[in-house]
Amino acid sequence: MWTRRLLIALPIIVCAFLLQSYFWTPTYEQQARLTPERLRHFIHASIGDAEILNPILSSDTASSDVHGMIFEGLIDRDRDLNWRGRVAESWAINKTSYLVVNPDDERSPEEIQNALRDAIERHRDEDTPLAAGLRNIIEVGEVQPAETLTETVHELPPPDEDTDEPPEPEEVTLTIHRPPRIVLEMDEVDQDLDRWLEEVLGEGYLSGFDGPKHIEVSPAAFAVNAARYAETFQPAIEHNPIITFHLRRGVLFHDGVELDSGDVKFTYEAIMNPANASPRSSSYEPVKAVETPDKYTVRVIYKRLFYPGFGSWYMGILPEHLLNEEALKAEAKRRGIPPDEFSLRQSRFNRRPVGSGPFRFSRWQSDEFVELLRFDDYWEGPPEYERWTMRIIPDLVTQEMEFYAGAIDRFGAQPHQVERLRKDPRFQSFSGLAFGYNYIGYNARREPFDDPRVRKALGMAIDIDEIIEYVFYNQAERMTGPFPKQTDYYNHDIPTLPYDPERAKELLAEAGFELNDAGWLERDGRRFQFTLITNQGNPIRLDILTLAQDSWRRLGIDVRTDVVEWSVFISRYINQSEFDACILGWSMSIDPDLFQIWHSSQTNPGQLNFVGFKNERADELIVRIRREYDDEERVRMCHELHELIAKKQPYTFISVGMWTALLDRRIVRVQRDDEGNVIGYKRIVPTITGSYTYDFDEWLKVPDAPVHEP
Amino acid sequence: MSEAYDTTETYEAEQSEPVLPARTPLQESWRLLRQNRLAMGGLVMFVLFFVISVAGVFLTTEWHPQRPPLMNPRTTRLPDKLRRPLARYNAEALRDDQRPLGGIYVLGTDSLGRDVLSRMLQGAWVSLTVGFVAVGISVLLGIVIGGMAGYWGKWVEMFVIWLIDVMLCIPRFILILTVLALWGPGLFRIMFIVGLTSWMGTARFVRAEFLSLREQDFVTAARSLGASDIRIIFRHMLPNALAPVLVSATIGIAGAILLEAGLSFLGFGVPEPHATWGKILDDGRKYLFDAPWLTFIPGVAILIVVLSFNLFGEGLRDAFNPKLREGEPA
Amino acid sequence: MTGFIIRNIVQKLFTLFVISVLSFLILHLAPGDPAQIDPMNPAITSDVVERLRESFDLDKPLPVQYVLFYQRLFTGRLTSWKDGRPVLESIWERFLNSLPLFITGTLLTWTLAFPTGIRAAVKRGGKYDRTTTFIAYFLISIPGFFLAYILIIVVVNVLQVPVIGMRTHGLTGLPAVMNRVWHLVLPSVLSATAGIAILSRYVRSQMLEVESQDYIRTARAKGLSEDVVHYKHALRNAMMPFVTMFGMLLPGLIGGSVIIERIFAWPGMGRLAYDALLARDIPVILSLNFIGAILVVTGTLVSDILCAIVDPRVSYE
Repeated sequence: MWTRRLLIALPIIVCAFLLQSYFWTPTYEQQARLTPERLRHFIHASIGDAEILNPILSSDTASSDVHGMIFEGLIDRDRDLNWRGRVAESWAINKTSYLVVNPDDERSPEEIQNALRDAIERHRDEDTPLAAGLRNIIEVGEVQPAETLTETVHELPPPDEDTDEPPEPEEVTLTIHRPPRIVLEMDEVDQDLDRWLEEVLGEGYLSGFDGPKHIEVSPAAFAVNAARYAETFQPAIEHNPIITFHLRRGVLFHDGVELDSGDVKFTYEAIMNPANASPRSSSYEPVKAVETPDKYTVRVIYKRLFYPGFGSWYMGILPEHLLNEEALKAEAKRRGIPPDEFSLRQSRFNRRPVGSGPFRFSRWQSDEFVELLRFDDYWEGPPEYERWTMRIIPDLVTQEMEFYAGAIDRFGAQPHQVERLRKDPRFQSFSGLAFGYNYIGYNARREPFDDPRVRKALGMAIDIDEIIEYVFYNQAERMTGPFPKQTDYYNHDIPTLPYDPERAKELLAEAGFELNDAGWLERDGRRFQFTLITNQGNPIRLDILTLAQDSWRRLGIDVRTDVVEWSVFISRYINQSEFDACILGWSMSIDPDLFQIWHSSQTNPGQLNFVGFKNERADELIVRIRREYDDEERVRMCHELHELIAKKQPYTFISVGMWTALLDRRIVRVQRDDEGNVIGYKRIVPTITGSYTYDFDEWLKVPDAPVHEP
Repeated sequence: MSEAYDTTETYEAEQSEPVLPARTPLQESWRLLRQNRLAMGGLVMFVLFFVISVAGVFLTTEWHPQRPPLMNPRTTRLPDKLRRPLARYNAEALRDDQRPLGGIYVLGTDSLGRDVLSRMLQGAWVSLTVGFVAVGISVLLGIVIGGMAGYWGKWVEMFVIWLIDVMLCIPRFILILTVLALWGPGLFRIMFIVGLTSWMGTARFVRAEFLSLREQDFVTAARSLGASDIRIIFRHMLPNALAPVLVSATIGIAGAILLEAGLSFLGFGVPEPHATWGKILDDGRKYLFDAPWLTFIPGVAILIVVLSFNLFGEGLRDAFNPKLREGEPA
Repeated sequence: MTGFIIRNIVQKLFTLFVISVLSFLILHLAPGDPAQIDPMNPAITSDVVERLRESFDLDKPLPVQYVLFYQRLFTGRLTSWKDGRPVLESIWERFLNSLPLFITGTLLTWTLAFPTGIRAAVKRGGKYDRTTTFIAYFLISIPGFFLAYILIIVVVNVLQVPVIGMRTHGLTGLPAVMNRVWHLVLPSVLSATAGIAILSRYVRSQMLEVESQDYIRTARAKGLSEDVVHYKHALRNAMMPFVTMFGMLLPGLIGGSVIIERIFAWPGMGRLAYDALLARDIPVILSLNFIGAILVVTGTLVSDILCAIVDPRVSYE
């Protein structure tokens, strides 16, 4: 019967064909014998695919891992966290200030000049803050005559209730009649200059200057915004920093076009363009203008003192010639999309980017891999690796298997694996403190969390050392405040909160809580009962939740718990401040700007100070830290702020995590002499913040695990 | 039920005039089921699983805040984490109230030192609930919708057929994921969404059965005696349409338990504090190389339970199938 | 016949419309804000969120959003919120990745299920029947990811070859092609297990159904050999419902198995849907849902037509 034979033969043929393919596939051993090609190829694994390979648009780590290799910014940080020039060769921060001569004051410009010079002379040898402030003024310079300037801004009109049309931004012309100004040459940027000047020139000389009066707004409907315009264009004293970057010559994009000041300006404009909806725009908002006096000079003018702004120039520079308006229009036309619907966000550039970094883009198969190739014309010399691949392996268990087999070169160990893998002779491991910390936040708007004693007691009732030992497998450290532990801003003198349930009971008793007959704590006849929430999908937070609930119940607190899906958690609970206590984490940056998380103005719905922390001194320090350009002074203020927060305990700071990354032991840093000959290998050494990929350009895999030079 | 079967009995008796001493179809089915060793094995496991889940509820529930349960699945014992099955409890590092029953971790401990046996016992009931409630919802919906279509016919039937079509057009797993991803997973949400997306099969069966039952004499008789629609549907017709529903429900429960395990893998399983077996399996996955028992114990347990449900369901199907009754193969 | 098909098509178009409205509503009435790409990132201020809302059309009323959405979908201008790519382009790319997996899985399912099921029916109640019944149910009863891990660990440890992903890097020519076939084996076997088990049971019951019919008895009575009875007379009639099942294969194209694709790092459609769900990338989710619905509708249409052609009992009216 042929039907019968066919029915039996078919599956056998199919299976045989599938199984024979096994013989064509190299075993792990064959792959590990390390063909020269494999040695010059670095394979990285990521659990998620990159979203968009554009530094100004991306907001996920996989994308930044990739575009960090392709793009390069003006500056970055070196081994010791100092600024280092990349595309910018050098830079200078201008320290000139301009004082407006107040027309409502009867003194003439010259009289003001003299008054200032006298005061500086008079206080020269005194030891007061005022004297120090005045000594900082090197020279009281010339008087700039009065002038009239025009500026244009784009502004949404006031909402019109009659139409449903979305408002279109309108052009507003500002005619600014600027009174004469006195030039002050400063030794250092001083955020308190206006205070010293008022002390010398009399109360109200600066604060009494009526800026809006000297601005004409057209069309007149926008005059309501005059005060805001005055702040930007007509301040009483303009001591706004100007950063001048001098660009390196001969930095090439991967398509061979030289990177110049126009590209920097273009990148800034692309970030600020509302059509692009860049998630990074808030760091650039204090920038007033970016000017390009020549091809290799970029001048960034700020509206106000804003030190964190400097660090934002690490942003990768985009090639203007590929993305400017004409280029985008041409692309829209080619793809048949109406140009007004087309923005940088839709451009194909984001899937095959061109930058100026050490690697150039080669291929991207969605959710499978991204492949980069070495850029031979990189200004600092090409990297050692010829090829860089990011494979996307969403399942961690699979990733682990692939790493053991040698099919990927790097594996981020989970805490419970660190102990075992560190001892493994096949790998070298790097550990460091992360920039993220976990905390329990208490809603200070609600009783009894408005009482610092209660918050402290709750913190003392949890054995955090035990959590670190068992939940984090010792791969975490305690912390006491909101700064990265590996920077100087962190105040190491502050002791950690001890585990002391007895003291916690005393504190709660002081706050008025007593045990009732049923064994629950109670105040004014009301049981101490609250709900501790966290988001779903983070096992560590769940463990902390379980352990905290357990510890607090032993004190007699009726703690309920709730685990909520992430976006609901954020939109319903956190953004609305509708919670008693929550377990969450923050990731910090090196820059110690705490404005959004701790300033009392940021406690509205949707803002990040959702625990409602309010403290006047803290507010003052937070603002001053942002405006301070002197690092020592910033460290001092950060220490004070840290101490203050530790005292108030708005959060119970749980821990800052430690990460461990594993590499094949055979990966080393290649050392070359000036002619490019290999003179030896060095061990990979991480920076003080733990970044072990700092020298990635020098990395290479060698056939035998080498003996390292000291 | 007996009344309905009596009617069928008479009806069948007229038709086939059995030579054998009269046995009700129920007895006949039972006889067939008993001969099927796989199905009987399934039934035994089914009962055993049921008993274990009920026992689990009694052993692991905290009935009174001051009196801890005999086996507490919530007790964390950090020093005793990731212990192998049959490991002894570490009396020095732990408090007395953390002692597991018998001082031994029969199935080992998980990453927080919780006793896996207690967790499995507690999870058994939750898994069973998920399966039963989800299938209960789907069966109920299926019966009501299919019954209406089959009984009333006309536009009701057309509407129901169309509705089934629409439901079948929506990719089910993606729909469940969508709802859970957007609204967040929860015990009841999972049971409801699984139930709401799986009634179509039952509805089809019931409709087909009703279509044929509607025309039969005993229904006409009941109608001419003035019985209300509701009464006819529930007292006379439904019991006769129940057999295929029972079969698909048994297999549906197995499917729901597996589906929940898959959802757990994707991070959309039943959230804490409930722990289904699927969730325990997913929790253990992370420790595949460090503590394999955390994966294998729940994995094998799910396999056994789902398998027994399936085999039992298959046995039931055969037993209820009138075609198979006569003429066993030689 | 033509009238039957046209009526069918019109009815199915209406169904599609209802589905499009339903899925649109489900997604837009869900809690949480899709513009909240990264709510815990201090750099994303409420201004930025507002701007994103605008660029995603979220500030417009629902019906307008609905029309805009499907207009863009049909003109191919719909782009993802997550990465700005045209949705159809990403779906097509994933489709090409899922296709080999689907084809291999289907081949395995259909070629293996028939001989197993038929033999089980022929030897009904015997040892073979019981064993295959047990194995079939065993396979559908294991949680998929559990089975996948066990298989991967066994294969990797015994054979020492890579099984993860779509290919091993660094091969060219015929070895590269065969290597891709090898990477197909495990995931397609896994995705076929349940199918083989269910389909073989179905084949078995269909065969039993047919074999109890009178004409088979007649054939036997005529003295035809058992093989001819089973494979010629019974099988031909038992095949009928399976012809119509071909239509229902279509939706399998889009289903994909999220779980298997995740474990095997396979960049298929299931993962596209899953990642889009996690990122609340509504254009992608909706498009996938809609294309899935189109495939199901086309599938049932094909089934209906096939059924009408093959089975003389079905009338066109």
